[in-house]
Amino acid sequence: MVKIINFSKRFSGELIVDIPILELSSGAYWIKGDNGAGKTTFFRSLAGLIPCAGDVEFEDGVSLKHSPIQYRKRVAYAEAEPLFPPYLTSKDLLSFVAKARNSAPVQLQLLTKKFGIDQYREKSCATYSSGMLKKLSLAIAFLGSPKLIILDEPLITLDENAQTILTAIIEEYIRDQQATILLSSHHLLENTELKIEKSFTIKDKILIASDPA
Amino acid sequence: MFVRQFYIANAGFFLLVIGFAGGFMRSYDHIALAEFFISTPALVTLPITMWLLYALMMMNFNQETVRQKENEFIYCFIILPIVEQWWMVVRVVTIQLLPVFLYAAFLCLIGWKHGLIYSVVTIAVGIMLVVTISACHFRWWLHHPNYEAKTWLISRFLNPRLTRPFPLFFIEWIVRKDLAMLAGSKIFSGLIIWGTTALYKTDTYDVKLLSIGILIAVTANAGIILSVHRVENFHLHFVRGLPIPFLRRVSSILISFAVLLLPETIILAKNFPAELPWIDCVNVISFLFSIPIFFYGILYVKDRNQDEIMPIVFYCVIGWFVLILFNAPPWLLGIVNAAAGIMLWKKFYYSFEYQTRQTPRAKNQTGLLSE
Repeated sequence: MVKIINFSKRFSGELIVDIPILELSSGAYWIKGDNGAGKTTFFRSLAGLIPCAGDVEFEDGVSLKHSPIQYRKRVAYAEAEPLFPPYLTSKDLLSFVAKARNSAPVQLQLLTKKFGIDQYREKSCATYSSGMLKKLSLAIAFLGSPKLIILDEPLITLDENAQTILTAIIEEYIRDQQATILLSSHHLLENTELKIEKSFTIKDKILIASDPA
Repeated sequence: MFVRQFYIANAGFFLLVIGFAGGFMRSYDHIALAEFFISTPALVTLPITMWLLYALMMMNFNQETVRQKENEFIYCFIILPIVEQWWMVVRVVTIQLLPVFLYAAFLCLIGWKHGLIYSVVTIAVGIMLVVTISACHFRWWLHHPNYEAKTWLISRFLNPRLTRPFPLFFIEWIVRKDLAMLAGSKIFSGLIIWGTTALYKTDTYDVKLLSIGILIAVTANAGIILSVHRVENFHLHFVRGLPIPFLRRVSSILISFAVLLLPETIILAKNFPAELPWIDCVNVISFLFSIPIFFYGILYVKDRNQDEIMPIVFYCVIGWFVLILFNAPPWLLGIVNAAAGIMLWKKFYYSFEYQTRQTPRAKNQTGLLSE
């Protein structure tokens, strides 16, 4: 269970998103919103990449504000358009993140194999296509044992096969680790095999429950 | 986009040149130097080489600007009529090369005055060469904006054999993307330290002189410190979301600083004045390393771009200068600086937000596709 309390994010004083309270249990949640509605800002704040007001708390009390390291162990984020320093290889990035997240080598191997990036491990990111970068970013997000996985536009640039694999991995994390998955997508997730618990829309700076998926 | 941004991006370089030319050299020094350059056509190649280096810096800027994602609109350049394309390209490089033209005109004037026609002709040929190379290079990149990124031979060799440790992420970025600044800073700071230690052979000084030398030398690395901060918070921003204990984060950056300050440390250790006790060597080295730590901590207090941080650097340097003159021991300054830097760093790390409100140079170095 993840609880978002009195969350708000402002840029230069201007309110972007305001969420007084939101509780999310295990499962996949679809966050919708027009371009510029604040989905990515919301996600980046939850991931601890940018500061925000309010707090995000797990049921055992681990929170973004009071236990930043423990919180970050449980939260993972994959960007919509990931960019990594071009000279780094996926081996460099994955090894570094795996070490930080205490991920077992077998998990690393499995994820890279599933996403089909194992054969490009020694190539630098400069040579990757946008789809490959996306797969790398997704593999990074699933390393360790995150309880809250935030995937910003996970389907863009992914081929059909990779989309199916991603859906399977998401379901596996929900089933085995009781993970909460937050997704934003302009694709119609109803058409995928993924079971969406609930969907929300960010509109006029607030998060409202939308029609059930 | 190419002209104004080029001058803004390299404002530091131009200020340094103006400061050097206007501050250290008097008018007759300039004339004497110009007379030396034009005395033979062979010596004229010295300024021409400098102009070619300037052109290289300019070509690198143009290339990176063309490759930026937000500048993709410029790809429609190729549909312009050929004459218009060349007119545009030559106009841009000509304005970018303005400082070169001004100095070339000055050299030609001196050469003409002394009747050194061959030197004047060599300068004219050199200028034409610089303009032609710059214009052709610029036009080529406008026609090939998506030129396939090539992996360096050394990368092809190292990538399968090496997993880069985290501190190398920073060092490699600076070596690849900020090489000119890195080289300039190292040459300047190395010369300052070497020059300061050489003064001890001419007279008797205490450790204050060396401390002042160290202060000036390390301040010349301010651009590198800013670069490391930008790499951490912009290019590697995902690292903030990782569960890395603060001490490990700090030690990674400190290792990067230690590697980046290695040339100064070696020069200092090698030329350390024999008149001073060896413990002073340890003291001044601790002072040397404490300065980047302090500045790095300051950078986390509030998001500031290069123009905003430089006055702070200036006032800090003045403060340290005064403290050194008043006999503050370098080891004490080192401890206070490092402690203050780490304290600020820890206090503000999670509340700090890096905006992409950067200097044009930094923006230009976000070239994310070129290796």
